[in-house]
Amino acid sequence: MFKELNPLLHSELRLAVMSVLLGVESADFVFLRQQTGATAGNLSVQLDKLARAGYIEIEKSFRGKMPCTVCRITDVGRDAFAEYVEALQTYIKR
Amino acid sequence: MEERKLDAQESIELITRMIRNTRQRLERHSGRPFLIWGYTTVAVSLLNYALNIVGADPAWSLSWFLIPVLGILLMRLFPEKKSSEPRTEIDRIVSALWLVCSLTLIPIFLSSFLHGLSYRPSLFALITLVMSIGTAATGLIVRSKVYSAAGFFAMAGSALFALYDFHLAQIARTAPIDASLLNNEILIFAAIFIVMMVIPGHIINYRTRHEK
Repeated sequence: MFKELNPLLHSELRLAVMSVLLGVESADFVFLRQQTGATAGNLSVQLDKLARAGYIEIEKSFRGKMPCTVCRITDVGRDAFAEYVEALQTYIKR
Repeated sequence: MEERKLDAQESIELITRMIRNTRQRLERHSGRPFLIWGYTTVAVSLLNYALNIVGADPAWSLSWFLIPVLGILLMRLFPEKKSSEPRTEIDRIVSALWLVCSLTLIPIFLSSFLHGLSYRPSLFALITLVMSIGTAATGLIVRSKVYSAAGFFAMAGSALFALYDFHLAQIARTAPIDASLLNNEILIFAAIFIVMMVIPGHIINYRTRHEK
């Protein structure tokens, strides 16, 4: 039986962001843009969606005079990611 | 990258690629702390060597405590340049390792303060051992041959203090030894720190600059 894939994670950009954040303590917006190759606008929208679901925390501050957005994965996000990978395996095994 | 639906295989490939890319950051940008602590230790060692040569008051040996003071001050004055690179699990492990090494130095410094000059040779060896463990372990964790080699070389070098003591004991059998010969242990200590921290720090910084 196929398990249902979490629609919030089953999107290229959001899944890429979650995969990056899984391996680091935190990452800033510039790094996430570099890693995913996404546009600033699109990345910003997807980060907001992940934050609203409680999967990531977003901290906005200033580094000197430059605005700095730092994201980190939450425990809820980690659990959701683990469930997503588990569900993914039911598709791969067949 | 768009908000595109993926099939299962694409999802797995994307997750694998992103995690691999993020973990590629290893030895970069790690030269500065080694240079700061390396140069500080060498400078304070040479200062103490010079003070002993000119026969300064023994109270001047308290200047050894300038190492942590100057080191912390310089680390604050010249912090790592902030980049957009994230702090990874490897960064956290290396920081924790050096925290443990630094805390180990506190009882060693206290011993040197309480025991005085009679325990000095073993204290040099102890400090060298602790710092070489930190350097070698950092090298293994961040997969840097430079730091690993420097750490293990310094670890072996810590035996030089015992060998030098043995050499002095041999001389003392036939003739009274000059107290200034003990002073040479400071030079061994400084030389080990040059090999363990200063040279690797410069190599890593050179590589980092030329990678950009």
